Amino acid sequence: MVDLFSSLELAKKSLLTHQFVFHVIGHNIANVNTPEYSRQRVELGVVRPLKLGFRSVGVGVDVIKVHGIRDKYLEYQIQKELQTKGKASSLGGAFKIIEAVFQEQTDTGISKIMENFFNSWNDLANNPTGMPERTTVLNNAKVLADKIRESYRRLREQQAVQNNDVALMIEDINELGDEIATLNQQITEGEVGGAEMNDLRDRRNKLLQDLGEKVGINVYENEMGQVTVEIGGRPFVVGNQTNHLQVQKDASNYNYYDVYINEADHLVDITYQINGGELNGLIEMRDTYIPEYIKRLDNLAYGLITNVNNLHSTGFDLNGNTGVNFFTPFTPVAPGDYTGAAAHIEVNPTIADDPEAIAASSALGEVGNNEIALAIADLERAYDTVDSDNDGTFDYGTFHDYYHQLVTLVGAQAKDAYTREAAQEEILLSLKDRRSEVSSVSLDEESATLIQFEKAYQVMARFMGVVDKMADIMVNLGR
Amino acid sequence: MRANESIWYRDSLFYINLTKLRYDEAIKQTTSGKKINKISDDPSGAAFALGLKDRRGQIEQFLRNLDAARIYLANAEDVLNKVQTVLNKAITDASQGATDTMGLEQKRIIANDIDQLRNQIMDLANTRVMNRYLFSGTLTDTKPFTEVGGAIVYNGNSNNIDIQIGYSIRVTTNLSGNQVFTNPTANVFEVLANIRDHLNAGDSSAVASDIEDLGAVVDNIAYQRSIIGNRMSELDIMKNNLKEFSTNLQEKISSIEDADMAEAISNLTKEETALRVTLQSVSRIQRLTLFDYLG
Repeated sequence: MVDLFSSLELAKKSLLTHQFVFHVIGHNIANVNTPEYSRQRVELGVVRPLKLGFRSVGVGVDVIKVHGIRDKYLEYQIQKELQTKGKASSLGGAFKIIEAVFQEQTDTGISKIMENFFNSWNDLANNPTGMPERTTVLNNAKVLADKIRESYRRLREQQAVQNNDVALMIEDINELGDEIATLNQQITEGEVGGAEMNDLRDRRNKLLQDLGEKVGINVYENEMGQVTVEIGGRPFVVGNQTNHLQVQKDASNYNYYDVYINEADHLVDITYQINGGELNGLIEMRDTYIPEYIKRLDNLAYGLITNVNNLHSTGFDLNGNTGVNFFTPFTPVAPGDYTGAAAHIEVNPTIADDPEAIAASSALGEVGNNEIALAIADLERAYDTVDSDNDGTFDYGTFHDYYHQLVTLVGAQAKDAYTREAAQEEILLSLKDRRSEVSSVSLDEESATLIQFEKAYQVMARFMGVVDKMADIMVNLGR
Repeated sequence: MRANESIWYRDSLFYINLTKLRYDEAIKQTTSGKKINKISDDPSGAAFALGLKDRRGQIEQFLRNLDAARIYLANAEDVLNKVQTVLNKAITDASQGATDTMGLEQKRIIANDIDQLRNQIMDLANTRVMNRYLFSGTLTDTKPFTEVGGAIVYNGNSNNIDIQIGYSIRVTTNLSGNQVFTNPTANVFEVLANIRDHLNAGDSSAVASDIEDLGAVVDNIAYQRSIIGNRMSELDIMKNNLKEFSTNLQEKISSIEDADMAEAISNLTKEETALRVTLQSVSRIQRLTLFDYLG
């Protein structure tokens, strides 16, 4: 027979269980706006029944487990896509600045200034002894040289910004690594008894996503619930330990930072093993995109300096001098290597303030002769004026075409980065929506559950009252 | 499928942002009037437009060159016109002096006139335009004609001064003095000096044959004028071609760069409506939860 006291015990347990459920509902509702939160569900189960002779009797309900509703595969996908997004938005951000260097919508772009420079040689050819024409040639040449140097300087500045960001990013990454390692430990400790550390897991997922957005990672979870995080194929977080990243200046790359991972007692260079994330974008912009643009600017500058000089130095100025360079000549670092030409271009200081020193004439004493001026003006439309493949011979022209090709390249790469960034946003939106479908708290759902359990709680309370009355009757039987 | 608030809020934020970006683009197009506001809007279009603009700039320069060439040629033509007038007077004078009926005194007066005309022609041949002697070849700072020991000598050279007026077209802007004035077959100064000297000597028959020489000089000047005339008409044709080319380029540049205003404005209106609708629908989300209907 079942005694009244076990019924009372059943009622108490049921009421406590329901209170527990209310608590979890409250927790869910409280976290309706917490982005990484996965809604929690209480798993209820029948308490192991009592055996009484041949019969078994149920003794109510108990909480078996509280688990977070989440889709591991979705979390993994979001984390992966965030790596791609991190890289795309890092590149996109830099391209907004780079693009402005090559902006030609106003009349202040290299293309227009180059045109003005050559046009002023035509004006000089029209009047070879004219001082205003000569002064204009010098002015336009200065503007052109300044503009090329300025473009070069802006690219270099952006490169330096990227580089500083690498160092800052490393600090953030290390911090996230440490937090993940700490959570690893807490989760293992907390889950020893079989409970699920839902809130800690949610937090760790969020940190892994934040980390992935900053740097490409691979994540593995072991049976103890700990995650191992790899960066560039090297272990970064293992259990409760973090192998910190650090930077070192690379003397072969303008002293920009290389990224190392500190494994036990030795450093491993992972600068170019990093794949994805903002850090990848920063390094790629610094070491791949910008150097290419600078190289092309160097090639253009070298072509201008050398071709103009070759003609100018054969000409004669108003005072009969010859053999003078128009731009300060530039000696290639090695055949085909014009590194530094764009930073170097300037009007030869010996003629910069002396309009008479411009050599427009091809013959001594013929001041009305304009052959050199005409020939330099013609360079604007000449082929084979730029060494585009850096083999030491001029093989590409015109200057304009070469520069336009550079503009197209920058524009297309910028466009590509923006498109990727936008596409990535959309992919993430749909993945996050999918995640929300699975994991986010729905207020309607919670309120429905609340009503359902409230009803059960009320009835159970009444049941307890009935048992109480019955006990009362029993007590009074003997009177 | 489970729909819930966080999806609604995230999606509405995303779409509000997206619609705002489009709205922003539409505003940029209508206010700047340009389709391409940054290179990445249309990289190859932007570069193509740059190429066209460079060509337009070159053509504008050719047009400027053309105007410079015209100044030199027009001045040279003007000089040759005046020389012709002077030569016509010289022929009339010399013809009077060639008659036997005229006395020596009167012939000498005419000889003096002829000498003056010779000096006038030398002055004309030494004309400067913009600090540049027109008839001294490339020695534009050298006075082309000076009198040395009674003879007028040429100090210039016979080099051309060319100006670029098209992609591979140049026009010569000068005529050298030894081609126009001291031409070996028609030297104006020598012929006039002969007439002067023969008049002074009263040699009517020699003057008559000198007048024939003067005819050759007049022919040469006329021929040199026709050279200039041909070059000037070449300039006219070129100018028309270049202007037409420039207009075509401008049209092409516009078609690449400029926004179609009607389209841009209707686009702006469309995006504005879209933004308004999006915002409205978001403001309604808040009113849709079960809690609002529970007592």
